[in-house]
Amino acid sequence: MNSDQVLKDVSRIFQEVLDDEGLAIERQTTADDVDDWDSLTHIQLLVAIEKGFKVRFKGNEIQGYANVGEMCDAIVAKLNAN
Amino acid sequence: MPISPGQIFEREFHVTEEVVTGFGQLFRDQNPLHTDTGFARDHGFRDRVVYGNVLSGYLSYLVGEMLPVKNVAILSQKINFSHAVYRGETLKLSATVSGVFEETGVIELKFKFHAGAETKARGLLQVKML
Repeated sequence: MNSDQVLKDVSRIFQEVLDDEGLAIERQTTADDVDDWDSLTHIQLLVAIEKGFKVRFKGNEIQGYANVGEMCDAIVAKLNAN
Repeated sequence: MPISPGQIFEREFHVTEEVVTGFGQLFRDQNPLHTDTGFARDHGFRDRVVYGNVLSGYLSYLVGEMLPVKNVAILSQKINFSHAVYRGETLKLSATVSGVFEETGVIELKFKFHAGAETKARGLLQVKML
């Protein structure tokens, strides 16, 4: 699975967690770009991503990604490491 | 984390008139489905139906009082109702830890309410360890 495919699935997870089918998520998207992406929603997103991709984030990754693209790259790296 | 996958929490709750009436007064929901036996029967129920969100109150008890730690907050809650609950019934809540997410400090519990053999509601709770 490459980063573009991961982005597609991550977008779907964002839409489900934020209950917004029209939400557009791109690599450069950050929490500042999405109205309801606050700290608690961030935790829900990470849990949904962990479940969806069967990966686990480390403590320093929880708040460490600059944007969605970095998160997707990290997911790809975790998938490839499995 | 002091909670492990597969751990089960169970408790029975007797749904009293006091609980139902108190809920209706507190939140000012006097919909006749909950207060008028005739209306409830006309719509296919055998009696006045207990407010669905009374069960949310029992979930609050689960999280606040039954878990082995107090530094917890509900992150999300999803509940599907399958059968009406009536005054006087005893509900058994059974919740199983279905996921522990160590780094985010989140646990998930799959829960089910049933009275006898009848499942009343089931769902999923996400609880954040603070």
